[in-house]
Amino acid sequence: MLLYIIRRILFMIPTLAAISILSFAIIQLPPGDFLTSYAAQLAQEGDLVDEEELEALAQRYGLGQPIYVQYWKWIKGIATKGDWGQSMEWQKPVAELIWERLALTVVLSMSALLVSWFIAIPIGVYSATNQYSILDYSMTAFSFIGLGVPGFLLALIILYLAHSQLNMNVGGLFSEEYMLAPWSWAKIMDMLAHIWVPMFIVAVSSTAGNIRITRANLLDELNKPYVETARAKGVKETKLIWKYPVRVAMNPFFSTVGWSLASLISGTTLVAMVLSLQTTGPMLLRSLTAQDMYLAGTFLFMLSTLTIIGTLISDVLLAIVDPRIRLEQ
Amino acid sequence: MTRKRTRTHAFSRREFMRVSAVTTAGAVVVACGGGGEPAAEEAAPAAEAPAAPAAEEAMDTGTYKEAPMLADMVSSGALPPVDERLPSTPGVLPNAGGSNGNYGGVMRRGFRGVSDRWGPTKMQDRGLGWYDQDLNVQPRLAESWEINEDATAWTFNLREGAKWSDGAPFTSADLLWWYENDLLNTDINPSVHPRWQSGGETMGLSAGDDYSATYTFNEPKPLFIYETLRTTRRIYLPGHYLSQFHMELTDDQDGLQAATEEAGFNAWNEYYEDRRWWYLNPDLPSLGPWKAANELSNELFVMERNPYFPFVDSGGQQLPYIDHVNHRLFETPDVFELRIINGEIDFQGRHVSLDSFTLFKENEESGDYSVYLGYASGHTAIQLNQTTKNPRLRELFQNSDVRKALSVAVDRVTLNELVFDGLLTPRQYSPLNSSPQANMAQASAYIEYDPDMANQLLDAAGYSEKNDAGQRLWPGTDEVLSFIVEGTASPGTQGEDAILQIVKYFAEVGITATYQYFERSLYTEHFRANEIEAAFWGGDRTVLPIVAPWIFEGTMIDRPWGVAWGLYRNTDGVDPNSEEPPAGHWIWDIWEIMDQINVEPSDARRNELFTQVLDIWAEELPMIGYLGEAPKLVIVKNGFMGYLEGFPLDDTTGDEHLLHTETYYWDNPADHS
Amino acid sequence: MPQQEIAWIDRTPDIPQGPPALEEAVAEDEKLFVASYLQLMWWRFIKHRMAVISGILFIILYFIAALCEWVAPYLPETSFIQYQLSTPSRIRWVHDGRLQRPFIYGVNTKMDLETARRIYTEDKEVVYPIRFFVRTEEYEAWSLWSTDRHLFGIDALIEERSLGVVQGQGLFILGTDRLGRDLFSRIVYGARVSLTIGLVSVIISLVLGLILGGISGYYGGTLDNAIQRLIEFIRSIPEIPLIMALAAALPIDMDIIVRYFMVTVLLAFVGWTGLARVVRGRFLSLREEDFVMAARFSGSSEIRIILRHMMPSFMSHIIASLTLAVPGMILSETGLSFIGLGLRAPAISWGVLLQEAQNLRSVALAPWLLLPGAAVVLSVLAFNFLGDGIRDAADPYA
Repeated sequence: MLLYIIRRILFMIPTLAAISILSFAIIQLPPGDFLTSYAAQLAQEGDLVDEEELEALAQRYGLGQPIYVQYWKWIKGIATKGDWGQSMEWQKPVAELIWERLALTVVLSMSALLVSWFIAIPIGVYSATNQYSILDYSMTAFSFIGLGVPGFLLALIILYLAHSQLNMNVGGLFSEEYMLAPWSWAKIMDMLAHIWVPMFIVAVSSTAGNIRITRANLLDELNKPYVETARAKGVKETKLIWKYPVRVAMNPFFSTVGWSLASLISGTTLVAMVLSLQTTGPMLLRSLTAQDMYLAGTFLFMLSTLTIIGTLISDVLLAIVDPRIRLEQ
Repeated sequence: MTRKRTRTHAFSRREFMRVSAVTTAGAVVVACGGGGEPAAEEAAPAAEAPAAPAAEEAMDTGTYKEAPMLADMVSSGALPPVDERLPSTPGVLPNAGGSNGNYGGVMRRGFRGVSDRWGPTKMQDRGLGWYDQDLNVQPRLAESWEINEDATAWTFNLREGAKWSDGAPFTSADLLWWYENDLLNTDINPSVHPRWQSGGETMGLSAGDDYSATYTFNEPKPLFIYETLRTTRRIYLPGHYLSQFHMELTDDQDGLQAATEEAGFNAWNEYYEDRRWWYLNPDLPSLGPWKAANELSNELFVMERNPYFPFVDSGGQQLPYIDHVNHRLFETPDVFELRIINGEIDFQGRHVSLDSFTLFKENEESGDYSVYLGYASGHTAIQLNQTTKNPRLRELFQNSDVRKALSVAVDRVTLNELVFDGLLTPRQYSPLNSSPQANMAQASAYIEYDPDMANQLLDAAGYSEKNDAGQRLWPGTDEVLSFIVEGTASPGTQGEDAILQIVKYFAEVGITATYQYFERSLYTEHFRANEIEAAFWGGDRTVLPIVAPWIFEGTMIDRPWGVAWGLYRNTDGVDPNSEEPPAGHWIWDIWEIMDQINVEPSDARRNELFTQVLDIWAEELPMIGYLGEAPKLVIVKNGFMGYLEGFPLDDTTGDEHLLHTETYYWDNPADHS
Repeated sequence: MPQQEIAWIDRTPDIPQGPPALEEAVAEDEKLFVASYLQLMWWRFIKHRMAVISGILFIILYFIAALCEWVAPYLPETSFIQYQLSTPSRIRWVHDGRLQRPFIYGVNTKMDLETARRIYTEDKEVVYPIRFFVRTEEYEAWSLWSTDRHLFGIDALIEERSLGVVQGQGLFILGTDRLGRDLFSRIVYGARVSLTIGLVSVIISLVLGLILGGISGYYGGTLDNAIQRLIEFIRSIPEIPLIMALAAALPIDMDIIVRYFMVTVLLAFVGWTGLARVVRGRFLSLREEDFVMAARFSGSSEIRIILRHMMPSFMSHIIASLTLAVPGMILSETGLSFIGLGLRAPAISWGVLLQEAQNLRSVALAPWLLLPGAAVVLSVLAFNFLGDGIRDAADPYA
């Protein structure tokens, strides 16, 4: 096992290098650069486009240089100084911009993930053990609706209903007085008061999927001979279900939990955009449209790394949980 | 409480402005002799001050009064008394409504991130002069100025005793510091922009004494005053503070080098530029009514009052009235609009979209705000790139009959009713009615819906062959005549609806055009590479077109009615995509007239000359305008006083900050702190 | 994991990855002495009532998509200028106290000058019965012939005011949008694009996933390792910038729909990885199964083993994943439209319609504009139940 993990990690290095080059190249693929998008943005908002400033910016960010020079400069900064470069749009070092957002994103996504499985497992188990009952049908229908409603639409509707029915504003993660305040108990409480709406919206869609997964896998298991055998031997039904089949049916949870590392960063993008949450998704998307190279590059690099690490974690978890899967030949 | 502002008020205001604003820079020449109608505003405040016990809570120890939050600091010794902080003759800015305001409270607004920097900046940056309500320029940070007969020398007299927000004196040395160490420093500013030049030579600057400075030019520079109104391109800098970041002036070069690297910059000039932005550096001394309390990259950007702001109201109260301005970040317009209807935006015109007019109006009561109407400078317009790389299209677009045909092919009245609820006015791209250069003949040239005339014009122009589907063909071929209209209007907005409808009208007269949305950076890239065939991008800069004539000249970025020609004029033909217009072309006439305007000291004569430009526009339709005079919505929380309805909002005149945002106040500040 | 909401990022089809099992072998036995496997499946499928209903709905949806010009009462671009943001027409049965065939009353419009909102009031004097096969606007069906018969509508005089802008009363069963266009007609037209545009991409993904996953699982070893690393690499390519780059690279004079189609097809070449992993897992376990061993020992060729013995045992899985990929494709279309990388007007798709309604003013003032969302949910529901039914039916133990 250890050998396997080490080998996989060694494989990661060239993959990551390749991906970092590829990401950087892809960011550059659309014609134009940050300056054109910046100038366009100013012009769109009815403001002055100052050629002097554009020139100064071009010089400052080395935009005239060939792409491999820019890439080398960036990757060298990361490797030697832990310097992720400057965000052109925000005019700040990338590292200063992303960490707090990253933390908020992880809190939001993780809590949504846990809530979602917490709801999904009992419902999924019920649906599977009472297949084609009315409750199963309605749960199935609910989960499909959850799957079908685009999250951003749900977010917008909830945003408006919260305003019109409850007279509250659910946008953002903090009240104005806590936005700039240093972290404190009161600020955490304030965040908890705000986070449940986006958490709910993110959870709804994934709960639906998770109910489906649990149900389907449990169904597969329940029909296996070993369950029949156990039942014939007179094992109590609850124990019978929860002891083995549910555990095995949880495989997909482990096989996807690793992948979800990456979606922790980008997964809530659309909802976060609608609700104006200061998470990483909207910033990533914006950095891409603005061709804010180093910011976008950093995000993409982190996403790829997380995807690769996530796949590894999934494989290892699977091997631990399900003894039938062997990683070595 | 609700204060109803009637539309009639707005119209009369506008009519009034059109009549009275013909003089524009006239007031400039006479300096503080008080050219405009509100001459009273320059009356000496000291005389009036005791008569107006406006705000009781204001400290009343000396000649001037100050905000309670500053009074506390004075009594604790953190600040010198207000009389010492103000210049000997502070500028007087009466509230547009005429009454003096109350101190205190917070103004809440929304912004979209650092790229939206000009929103906060327009409230904060203060130049040597600014517009009055009639769009005449009045002295502000400068107390007065003189200009010689041929407009080659401009002498500005600063306010004696005015101070930066850190208490350091503001003198001619600060103008000189900018000029010598920033403008002329090639590390910071590789080339000097033509706006600081005349006849190809960079201006000169010399300080007479601490409070006067003279700019000299090779050739007349009558419009120079407009370069000094905003500090976007800077006109002064706090040298006493910035010297420490300037490699040639600092005492500690090694320390600066280390600090540069520490902050992640490659060279000192980058670090210097970073420190020079007021919104990135809260320590940078300011001359504006507010200064940054934190950095703009935060979710909440806070501006706090500048205790040294050298302006008072007519009652001698130091401005601004409002303590803090809070800009809150939003990602999508929905959240911003929700804040508006929730009553969480106190005063804002920027980003307030006409699309949601009904939404805003219907929630006025529940959100406790009012929707004020001003005039947007933008027009619904199409630009046919007459210098497109496609030779057949070029020939088509260069034919003025074709442009006329595409102007009369559109039913503007129906378009207005269908897309804009009839809120706009059919017109060409033209100076607004409230502009000193308003010209009804040009605004209404070829705006009648007349598809028959359009067809005749197109037939006569040689594009009479059509296929079975009624599409016109390129002469002598069976290829469909077609072009792409690029634009950046987002889906579901009035902009996109309008262009899609316009394209349908084109189809009706056999012209096949396709609208293509482009992400705006791609659009700009296409613009720069002269790859745009035609574009849909609203035409603004219509309040003071003489000051900002770029669209009329064809040189403005992203308004591509003649991209290669515009690049030629902008870059002297250096840009590889630029192209010299054909000899005798009418664009030469426009440029020639504009060159004359730029050196013409007489106001009246400049207006006359600009009318000639508009005459060419009326006949040639360089770009085709469809609708204009759009209402611009300004959200004003009830109880927020001082803003008036009915003014044009344009970049040149500071959008909703034309009337001095520092003179706005809360009728009951305690409710808004 | 919020799979649904990031449908355009996550390329895993929502397939349960059950651990390898014995059931397929038993299924083989069963089919020998009872009935054909397909027959068994069919019997079980029709017992799953929701799946049957969904199957019918599925057929209806594609029928509508095929015949949208005829099903829609109006052309999707016709603006009824007096009826912008009109509420859905109230369909009534009782007039003057008498029961009649469904009809609507005439509707008058008044504009509130203060708020620019249009107010609609029914005129009880004017009655427009709803009829089948009415003649209204002329259209070209499949670019072959033109006719003016529509499935249903009202006989009301419509007068063209200027191009595409008409005056007169219409039947708006789902209301109109901000330009006075009949929303029902637009949803019907949108079905054609939304239900079909991703199919090619789904099929390409499927084929690639089957082949590469199959090779990986069947042969194992170095080949497997190489393919797995390739999958890992492809999964790590950021999708949004890739789409941006693709969209920018395609020629600008390309038709919007063709352009989007090209993007989906190109994306299929990175979208096959999820299925490939599933298929690989199946192959890995199947090749150790007794019946495969038996086939191998009895001298069957490898192709025969794969096609004849292994494939059928997870055919159901593939069919199910196909039906489940369709909702993913519909949702991707809406998600991409939302961030401005999908289809755009004047193309009409559910994503475009949702995108146009995706703002506060629509939610607040004209909530019926969100109905394309209902169409999305309905079809996602139908496809999921259908896939579910097929999956359950294919499970030999159910």
